[in-house]
Order: sequence, then C-alpha cells, then structure tokens
Amino acid sequence: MVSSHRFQIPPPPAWLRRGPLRQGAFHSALHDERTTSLIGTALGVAFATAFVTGLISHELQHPASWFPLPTRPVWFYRFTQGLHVATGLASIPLLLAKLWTVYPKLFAWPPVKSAIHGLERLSILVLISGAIFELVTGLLNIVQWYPWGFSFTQTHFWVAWVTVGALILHIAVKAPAIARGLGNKSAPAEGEGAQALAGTETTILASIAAETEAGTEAGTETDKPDQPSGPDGRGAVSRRAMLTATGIAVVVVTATTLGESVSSLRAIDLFAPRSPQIGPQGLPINRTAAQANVAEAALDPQWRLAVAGPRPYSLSLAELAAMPQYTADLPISCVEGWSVNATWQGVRIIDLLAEAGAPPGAEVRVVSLERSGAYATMQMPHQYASDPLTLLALKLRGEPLALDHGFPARIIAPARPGVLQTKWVSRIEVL
Amino acid sequence: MRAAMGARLTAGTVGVAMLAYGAWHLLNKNDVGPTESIGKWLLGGVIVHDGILAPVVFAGCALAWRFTGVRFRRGLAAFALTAGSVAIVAIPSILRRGDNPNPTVTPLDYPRNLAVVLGGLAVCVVLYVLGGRWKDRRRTGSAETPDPEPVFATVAEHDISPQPDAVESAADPAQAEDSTEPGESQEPGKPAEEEDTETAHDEELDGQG
Repeated sequence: MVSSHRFQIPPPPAWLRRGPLRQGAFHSALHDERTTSLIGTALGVAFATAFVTGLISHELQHPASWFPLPTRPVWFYRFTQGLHVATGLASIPLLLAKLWTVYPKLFAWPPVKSAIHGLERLSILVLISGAIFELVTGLLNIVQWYPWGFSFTQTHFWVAWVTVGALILHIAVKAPAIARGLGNKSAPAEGEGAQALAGTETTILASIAAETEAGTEAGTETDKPDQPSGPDGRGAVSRRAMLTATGIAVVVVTATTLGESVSSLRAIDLFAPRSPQIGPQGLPINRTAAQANVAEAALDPQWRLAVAGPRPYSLSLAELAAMPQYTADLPISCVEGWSVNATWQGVRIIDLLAEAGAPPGAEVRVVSLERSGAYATMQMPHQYASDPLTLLALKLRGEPLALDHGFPARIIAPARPGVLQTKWVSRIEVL
Repeated sequence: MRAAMGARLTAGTVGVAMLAYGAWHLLNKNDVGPTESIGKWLLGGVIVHDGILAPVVFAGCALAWRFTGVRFRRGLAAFALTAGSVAIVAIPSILRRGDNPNPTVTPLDYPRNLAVVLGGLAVCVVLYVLGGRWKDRRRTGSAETPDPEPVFATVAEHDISPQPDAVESAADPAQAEDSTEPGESQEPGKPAEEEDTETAHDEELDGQG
C-alpha cells in the first residue's frame, strides 16, 4: 500500500471536481460491468470479423505467394467483403451503445493515478479514436466520399492494426471485469479490491489490473442492479430493454443495407449506397468509362487485344468472338460491399494463354486502356489464370458489354475483388 | 490464476505489438498520406463523440428521466439508438447524392427512405406505449399505475448534461455548493486523508444505490 503510493501522481485539487467530474454524476445502473461486457463482446466479435475479412480483402488485393486464397466457392469474396461492410455498419449502433455505457469513465476521479494508469487510459483513447476512425472512413468510402488528404485503403488498413491491437490489449487489461460482467458477478467495492491486489501482486500487469478494477469502475453501482432505485419509484430502463434496443438498432441497420449484397433483402434496401439492379445492363459500376477517360480508345474499331508470351499475337474483336465462347455465372463483388451475380460470356483465359505458349501455372499481367489509376494494370496469380471459369468476357447477360462495364473486353474471375476484374482490356502478358 | 495472468500478459503483448506495427506504418508515410490529416481525423472522431454527441444524448436522458414514464423511456431509448444509427448510415448518402459522376453510386431516394424509417420507428414507439397503457388499464383499471416490472434507475434527476453543469458551477460558486460532495472542499492539502474520506463516501453512496 505504502510502496504503491510512492509512485503515484499527486491528486488533483478538489475544486476541479465539478459537473461530470462530480462524484456520482452518472447514476445509471446500466453503466455497469455486465451491460458493458455484453455489448462489448458483441462489438468485439464484430470488430474481429471485420478485421479478418479486411485482411482477406487486403491479401486478395496484394497477394502474397505464400498464402494463396481459394478460387472456390466463386462467391468467396462476395461473402467475405459483404460481411466486412455489414459488420462495420452493424458496429455503428454497437459502438454508440458501448460508448454510452462507459462514458462516465471518461470522468473517473482522479483522472490519472499513476504512470501505468495513464498509459492504460491512453490506450483507451487509441482504441476509441481508432474504432470511430475505422467506422467513419469505412462509411464514407462506401459512398466514394474522400474528404481527407490520406490514402483511404492504406490508412484504413493500418489503423485497423492499431485499433485491433489496442482492443486486444484492452481485453487483456479488463479480463477480470469482463469475466465478472459475463458471469453476472458484482464488481468489488471501490478501493478494496485495488488495495488488496496492490498489496499482494508485484507485476506490472497486476498493477494495471488493480487500477482498472478499482479506478475506472468508479461511479458504477456495485449493489444488485435489480433493485428499483429511481428517486420517485418510477423506475428506469432495464438492462434487458437497453440490450433489446441495441439489438433492434443492429437489425434495422443491417436489414436496410444488406440488400446491396444479399438478393433476398433487395426489397428493403433503403440505405445501401448501391442498388444491385441499378446500372447499365442492370449492374452497378465502380468507375465509368468517362471517369476512366477511355471512351474513345475503347470504342475505336481498330481496337485489338495483344497477348504477350513466348508466342505473342494479337486479335481483333471479331477474331475474339470467333473463338470458342464459354459462359460463366460469376458475381461481381466490390470492395465497397455490394455484389451481384451475372452471366458472362467470352473467351477463357487458359485458351488465350495456351495460344501464346504460356507454361502451365504462369502468372499474368492484364493491362487496361486506362492511362492512370491504381487498377490500370492488374496482376493475376496463377490459380485464377489457370481457372477454366476465368474469362475475358465480351458479353454480359447475353448482350455485348456496355461501355461502362468494360467494352470491348473485360476480365471476370471467380472469388476476386471487383476492382481486379479489369475493364477495357488492351493487353495480356504472360509473366 | 497464474495461467490466466500468463494468458493476459501474452494477449497484452500481442496487442501492443499489433498496435506498434500499425502505428509504425502510419508514421512512415510513404504510401499512406499526410500524418497530420490522419491525426486530425483520428482525434476529431473522439472529440465529436465525447464533446458533442454524448453530452447531447445524456442531456436527453436527463430530460426523459424527468418528464416521461418508464415505458415511454424504454421506447424512446430504442428509438434514439436505432434512429441515430440509421441516420448516421444514411447521412453520407444524402449529402453526396448526385455529386458523383457515376450515377450508380447513391442511386436511391435516401431522404425519403430515412423519413419512412424514422416515421415507422416513431409509430412503433407510440404503439408500444399505447399497447402498454391498454394492458395496464385492463389489468388494474387505471392507466396511472406505475410499471410493475423490476426496474432501476437510468439517469438520476441531477444527471443533466455535464457541459451546462460545469458552466453553472464555474459561474456561480454558491450554487455549486449543493453539487459538491461534503468533505471535498475541505483540506485540499492532505491528499492521503482526502482519499480515505472519499472512499468512505463512495461506499455510502453505493449503499444508497
């Protein structure tokens, strides 16, 4: 007790203790460990899901040769990225509810008790700012709105590491409180637990735990939460009502946005930034021909597809159409979460590569007519290039490709992000 | 016990390592973009939530506590969280509607859809409250009976928005007296004793619930 006090920061003056800093300023029984850990568990599962699906999307966009992702099921990316955006959107009500339950801890007294306690609070600042950042940037990205100076994909990806790292640290620090909350046990009385722990444990983590258990739980009621405690007996919102409200919010947000990737929910797709049937040939587009500035080159009757390899050659559109045509039902699945199944017709990539004398298992680079942009050229790992379903598509739903869908020819491969389904293809290179 | 502590230490170390890995990449700004802009957006979100959104919500909680019954408040809580979340999801689409040269981005009538959903939610709350009153009346013959379910406090009466409270206290030291706990204003020079007083007081408060 005495030794732990030696390193403590001197207490702040009492006159500071006003407004929200006042003892007992927040009286709700719902700022307790149980409500917090129940909502926190749901939010943790959502963030873990978003992180894993985000890593999958990152791996698909920047493939590492030591970690090949499957080409089956063909809806693999449709599922993982739909899930990524859906869990992100569902996290909005969950994060709002979670922050509501812990908001009084922002005014915990004294604000900082020791260096370790200060670090722990700093890690919570990192966690909350990262969590809000990820949800806000993700939300704006799905409507293609970038009112900032940084690169969205890179920043969203690295802040996710920071956020999930801070989240894992937070879970490690709060493990006893989470265990009590989920096990429906009451928190130790203010002060006592901390002093007992500080007296017996000497490791750094133990002191973190002690600070956490005692300090940040200040202001929470430790008595049984089922007792009516309204000042005039009117009672208040129960925990069950609060959790039900959170559940309703998650369901409403999910139901009104998931229609952009789940066909059966299209009828109630009210807030998704894409509607799967709105667009040329009933299919949304990510980047128009005008935006990519390719209209002239793509509509040029002199267009030819060049195939570079051991036996290079080139083909006109008529010559391509004269080759054996194949049909594939493949989804177009965008990194922004929307996806649609469609029937594509065209020439198989394996046939084009065989004609060029490409060795089996060759990787391929696909070059678009686009002059600039991150996706003007695309690298295709061998598992997609050698997949019989991967097409250089000339037709969509039985009609020639619309200009915005990549006329005269585009790539469609199973289980790949839409931005890698290169449009307005001009050249295929065997690597 | 020791295994649990070991697991926590391991998890904590993994967390710190992941955090450092991400932070290192963010600070090596070769492909990320200006660090100041990232910092601004990181802190901006917290400031908007903790400084604006949360005080407004807690002020709303205090008002609802003072002026409404528990059944209405329950509906109101569900409405506030659902409507707020749906609005956050819809607002970017509303603001950006028609701005994108790509007409397949934000193609829906989002303002109308938001009005429909908010209206629908409001109707649900009204039906829930009226349904509860009707049930109470059938059971007891009086609509005035308080809800018999086990309930407990959400927001105490003095749990008004932290911001106005702080302003009030600062402006009027006399009025601040009733919001100050006894024992705090005395002997600020003796930290150890003061802490003990406060601990004792905390327990007393907890006892009252």
